[in-house]
Amino acid sequence: MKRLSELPAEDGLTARAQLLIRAIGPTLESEERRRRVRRSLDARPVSPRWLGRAALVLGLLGASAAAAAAGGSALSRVFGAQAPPDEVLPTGPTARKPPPAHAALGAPAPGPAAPALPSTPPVGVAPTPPSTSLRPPVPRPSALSDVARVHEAAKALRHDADPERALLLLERGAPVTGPLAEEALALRIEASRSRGDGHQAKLAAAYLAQYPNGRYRELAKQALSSKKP
Amino acid sequence: MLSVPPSNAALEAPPAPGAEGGGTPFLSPREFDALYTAYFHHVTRWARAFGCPQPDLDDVAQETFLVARRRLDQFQGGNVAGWLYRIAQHVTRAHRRRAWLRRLLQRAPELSEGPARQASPVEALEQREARRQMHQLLGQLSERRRTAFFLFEIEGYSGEEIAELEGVALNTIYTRLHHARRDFMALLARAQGEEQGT
Repeated sequence: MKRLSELPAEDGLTARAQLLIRAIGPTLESEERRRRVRRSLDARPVSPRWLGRAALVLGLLGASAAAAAAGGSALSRVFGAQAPPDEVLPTGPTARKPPPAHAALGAPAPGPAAPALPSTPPVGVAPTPPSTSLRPPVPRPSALSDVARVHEAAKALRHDADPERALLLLERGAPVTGPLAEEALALRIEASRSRGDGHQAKLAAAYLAQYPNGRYRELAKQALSSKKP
Repeated sequence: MLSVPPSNAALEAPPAPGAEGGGTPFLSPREFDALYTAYFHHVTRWARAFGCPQPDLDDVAQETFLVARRRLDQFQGGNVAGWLYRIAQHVTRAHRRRAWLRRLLQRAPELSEGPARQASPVEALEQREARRQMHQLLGQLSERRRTAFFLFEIEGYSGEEIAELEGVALNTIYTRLHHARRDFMALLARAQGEEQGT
């Protein structure tokens, strides 16, 4: 079978195809590249990356379980036994409501939803009505992997034009580590610029210090030179 | 003219694991060095055929050999080129998935092909436009056809070599090449028709 480039260019289409193939061209052999990659390869540990990630995930799971337990006990102190746990932490698109003032003060609340005694289980408690907020909920960072957090933050910033949510996703909880750490920092710079909160210069300086030849150094330099977009 | 790619002789002369001893099928660290030297350039060519952008070739090649080094003891002997080829394929796929996010962040198309030989700005512009169109056309082929087409037409591998890498019959590769070329020419004709129509 002959290659396209070896066929006679009898018509314009074949000639164009040959031109395109020439434009792409074969991969050039580069000794310098081979040495450069070898140096990087020798600097990398042999153990698989997922071992580190698994340890990180286990740590995050442990921390989130502890935080959930602590948060649950704090909430139960505030609410008493007013509502079962699944009502205290709504999973749907609802905004978390602050506890009513009367509950914090210990005063009995009006209406049938008020518990008779803090220690008695609720009977016929009306569920909290869902909020009308249109903003999607910000999942707890511990519940998301780093990749998913960056992905969600990118969508929030680019598709929803919502830098607040992007920053919440990236800044709450443990900092993003792993292969997308650089992207996470770049996203924070961009979100901070969009919001105009004045933090972008600090973030940009941190980026340039950490990734002097990074993919987003132009963005960082722009953020350093201009405080607002 | 399309420059003739370097010889693919290394495909037939891999470090033969366990061939002399007839016993251990896995590769030793010393054999890994020979593997790296013999196949580094091939891995970059395969990665490009799988759709890896030029600027990311270093990353993909490094990751491929990292995985290979980690799995030296799992290599069962036989087709070492095919074994490495499949690792490169998986690594490139994973890399392309991550690249989606990176492209979103950079808002830049993956067309950078490094410094081209430029005689004039006009020639550079034509080269750039040709590369853009080529990437666009190749992106519309199925993965198998695109890979076979790229390896055969652009990287200069023979049908036999591609069949060995893919672990399929030679006729399968020729069928893929036939369909890939037919699809490519049809897409090119349509693109030219649209250009002339506008």
